[in-house]
Amino acid sequence: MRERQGLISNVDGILFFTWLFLAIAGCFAIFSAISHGEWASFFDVGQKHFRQIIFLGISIIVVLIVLSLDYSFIVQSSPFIYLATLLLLFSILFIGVEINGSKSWIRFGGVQLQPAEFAKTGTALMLGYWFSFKDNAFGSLKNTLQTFAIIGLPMLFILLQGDMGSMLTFTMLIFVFYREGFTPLPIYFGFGAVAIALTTLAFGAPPVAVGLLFIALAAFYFLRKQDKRIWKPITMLFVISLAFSFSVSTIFHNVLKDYQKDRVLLILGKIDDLHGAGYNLWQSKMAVSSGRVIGKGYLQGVQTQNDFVPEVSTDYIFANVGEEFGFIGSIFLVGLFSLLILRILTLAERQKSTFSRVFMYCAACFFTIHVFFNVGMVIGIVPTVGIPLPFFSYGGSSLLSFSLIIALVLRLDAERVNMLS
Amino acid sequence: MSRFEGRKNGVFFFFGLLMAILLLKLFLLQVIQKKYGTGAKSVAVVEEEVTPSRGLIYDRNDSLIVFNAPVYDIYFTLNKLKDADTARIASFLSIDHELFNQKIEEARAKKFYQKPFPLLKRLSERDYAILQEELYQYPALSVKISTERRYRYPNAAMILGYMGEASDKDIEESDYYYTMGDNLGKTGIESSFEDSLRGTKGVQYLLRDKSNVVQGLYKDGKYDIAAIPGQDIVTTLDIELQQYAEQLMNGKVGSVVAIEPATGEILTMVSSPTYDPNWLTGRQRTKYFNALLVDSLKPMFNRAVSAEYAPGSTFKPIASLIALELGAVTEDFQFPCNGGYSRNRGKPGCHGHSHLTGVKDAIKQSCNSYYAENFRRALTIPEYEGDVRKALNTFRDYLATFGYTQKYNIGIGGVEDGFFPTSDYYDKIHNGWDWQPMTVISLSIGQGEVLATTLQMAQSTAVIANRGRIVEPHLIKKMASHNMEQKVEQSPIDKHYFDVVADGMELTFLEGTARGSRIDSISACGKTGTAENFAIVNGKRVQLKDHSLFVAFAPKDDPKIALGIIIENGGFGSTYAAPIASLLIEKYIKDSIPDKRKYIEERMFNANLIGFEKENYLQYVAEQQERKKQRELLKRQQDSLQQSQIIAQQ
Repeated sequence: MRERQGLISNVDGILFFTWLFLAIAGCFAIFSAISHGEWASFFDVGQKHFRQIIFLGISIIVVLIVLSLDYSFIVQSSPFIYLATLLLLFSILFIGVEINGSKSWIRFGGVQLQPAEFAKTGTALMLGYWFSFKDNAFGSLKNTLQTFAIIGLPMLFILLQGDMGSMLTFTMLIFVFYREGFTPLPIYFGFGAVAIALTTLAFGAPPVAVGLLFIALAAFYFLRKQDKRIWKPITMLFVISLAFSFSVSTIFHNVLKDYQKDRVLLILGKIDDLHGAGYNLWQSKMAVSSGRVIGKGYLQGVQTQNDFVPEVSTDYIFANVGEEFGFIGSIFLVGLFSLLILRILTLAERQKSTFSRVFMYCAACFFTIHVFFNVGMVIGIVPTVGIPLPFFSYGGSSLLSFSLIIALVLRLDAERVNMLS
Repeated sequence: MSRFEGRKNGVFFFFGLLMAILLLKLFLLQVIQKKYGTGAKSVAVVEEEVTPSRGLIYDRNDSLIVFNAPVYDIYFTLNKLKDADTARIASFLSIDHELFNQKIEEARAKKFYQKPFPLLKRLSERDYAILQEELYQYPALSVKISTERRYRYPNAAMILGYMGEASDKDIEESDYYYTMGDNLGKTGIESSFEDSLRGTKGVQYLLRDKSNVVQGLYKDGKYDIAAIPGQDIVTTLDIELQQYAEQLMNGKVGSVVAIEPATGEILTMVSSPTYDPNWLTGRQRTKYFNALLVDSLKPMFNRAVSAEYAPGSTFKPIASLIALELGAVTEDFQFPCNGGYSRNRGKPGCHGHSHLTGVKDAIKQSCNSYYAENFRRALTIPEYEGDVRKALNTFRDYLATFGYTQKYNIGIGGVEDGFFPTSDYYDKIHNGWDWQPMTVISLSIGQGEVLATTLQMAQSTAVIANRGRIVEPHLIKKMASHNMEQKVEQSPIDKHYFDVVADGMELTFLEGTARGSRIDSISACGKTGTAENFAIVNGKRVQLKDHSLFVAFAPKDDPKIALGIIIENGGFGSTYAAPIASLLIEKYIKDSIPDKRKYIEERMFNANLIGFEKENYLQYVAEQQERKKQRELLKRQQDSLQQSQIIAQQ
């Protein structure tokens, strides 16, 4: 009895209320997105927002259940949950239902679920389990490969379903590995590659080559005192970067199809296209932009309500928020998500158990990439990838799985006080 | 507890950075950039073009010639076509399924996914009424009401020009004023005055949802911009005279231009064979358009302003005027004919007639020997001390005041400037050789290098009719935005000489080469011309049947009409050109043809030199093409036969 009371009082209030606020706000946003000028009754049971409310109710129950679970039970069942999600992902290749071109849905009676959403939770739990029981997860090549296989398997299955967006979210877990001791080189190389690719596409290969040469010369000039042979790695990096830049340019101009090129050019802001690849982006950007500073007011989003922005209740829901609440609303929402993410990271860092820390890091990674890619897609800074905005995009699986992650974070954090350091 | 605890800072920093990037972009988009902000109005609130009505075209007596009729264009939207049965739609609209597929490809290539793409154009009200009933079954189809030109008279096609769909190039050049499926003037007045005729499109802001269903006017039309209707144009044409001229020219290849000398207004301009402008409207347009394009007689080629001919003897009155002014000859100058120009071994030849007693007589008789001498003297006037080059260029300068070598902006395109050689031209072709007046003597009788359009022949006659008052010819009488100011000049040639030449031209009708076309009630002045017609056939210079030419003006004092006529391969000027001119003059001035001359009218109506018939034009072109195909086939067979013979011989 004493322990249970302790548990409730140990639940992190900031995270809990941030989650609750976002989840409730999400229902209202969906209501606005589906209403067409005339205000439908908020209590119309058949509407999307009401189904979302039902899922919110289920989510709250799930959160309460999870909070009541035993810590060691969670830890011990992690591998089984992981295996179960893998099995589900695998079986979906055969029994899945195809929606919007990807075979990533499974049907239970009248409810459709997207296992990829739950695979995130499973993978996060498994990583926590793995890092807490495996010494030196990156100690040898074999260990490293095993560690990578944990995220590699679900990624492979999800990719086979054709759900590119969900697959990409897993790449964010490289930050968990980094935090747990993996070399930062992949991150550096990754960002170097993205930077070179973007500048090459924006300005063409020759100017980038000149820029790289300057950077290489500067690096050599400043570093030569520390190490006389520094020119060797610098030259090597320079040559690799140069080759990469030119191959990006070649692939873009000779290999990519026109519509693929269009997508890239749209993101770079080089073309505006109302009809083809850019239609969705153009519409969503206009919707967000038309909100200006203070927005048009709740339920006043002409743009998003008249169905101009596609998928406004799911992937493009941020367009509705941006239009109706303006820049102030956008700051508030992105700020709340930032608070959520940074709070999870803060909680992670105060954990005594590796399991909890790794799980929370995974959670922070998933939230970060979902928010960044979803909002970024709506406002046109990343290419179009269909991944939901946590708690806001219509969809039971998404709401349930993100709530589940929050619940687990809260539960694991609450256990902290019972742990001996 | 962890070795890598320091790394948390990197992760905190990076995750924070990502969120900051989002906020920065949101700040740019929602606070700084205006581009998308204003755009948002135009999409949920859709900007709809309002096309104004096109300006009407009238003739000089305010008789309506061109007006607008409503037509229905069917559009399709690619995105809504997804699952639709395209074969069924094609059969519903009774169009070729293949054509529909082509349109779909085109729409895809141009990225018309959300926007309607034109499919079927110019449905009449009746055709549309049949479709309307079932149209709702095909959500991918939409209808746009627009207007199309209609013509009250089957005439003046060449001047009015035709309308056509805006090409990609048109759209780009108009800075995107036009959109896909818009029509614009392609030739003639429709094209020259497109900007004024079309007016200015207006804008209507409509609230629309994604499926293009209009939900009402945005802010009750507060931001709408009204369309400005196109300007009407009053042309200088006399549509009845035009109609009459076209009837007379039926079955002949050639052209007529009639000008009101006092104002320079073009009363009539016929290029024959021509077509009914209504042919290029409605759904029959494509069929007729293709036929007109392949027709070997080129009915879309405006012979009145674009074809250049040797003016032949119609050149002679002008040659006289210039020679008189230069003092090369006097009005009483006499010269023996001798059946040929004696100073140049009998060339050019002449038909042999009584001794000439002066300029008037020379014009009446159209004597080649006389004009050869006339020209030689003009090129060797004492003032220039034998400088033939200077004399020729002076002659050319005078000629320009008659409209020769001038390119007039009459209000339609395709106007050519004709040709008269300069001294440089001869220096070049004779490559430094010291050419003499005899070298260029053909020019004296309007042959050789000189070329003129029918418009120029009519204009030069108008200048003579005006006794030297020069008014530029034009087709537009009244139009709001058009500067109507006329440049009027006086010819440097003494007015008295014009009277002398006019007398000679009157004699042409009374006693001379056009006496067969004499009009009793009107004192008309004219000049026949028979231009030799050479063509290069299979590398050899072949003489074809002569062109029949005639210039005339009437009445002699206070002239109301001046005209130039050419009938290609019509033989002598007096055969076709002069009678037609006399009929036009009489019709224009007296409004009717007396019974006495009805037989001439009848003969001209019925003279069909080319087998061209307007009534079954499509069949005519089809037969023409069939004959052409058979000729080619025959030729190929002969060629292969020849080749096989050659092979056999080898």
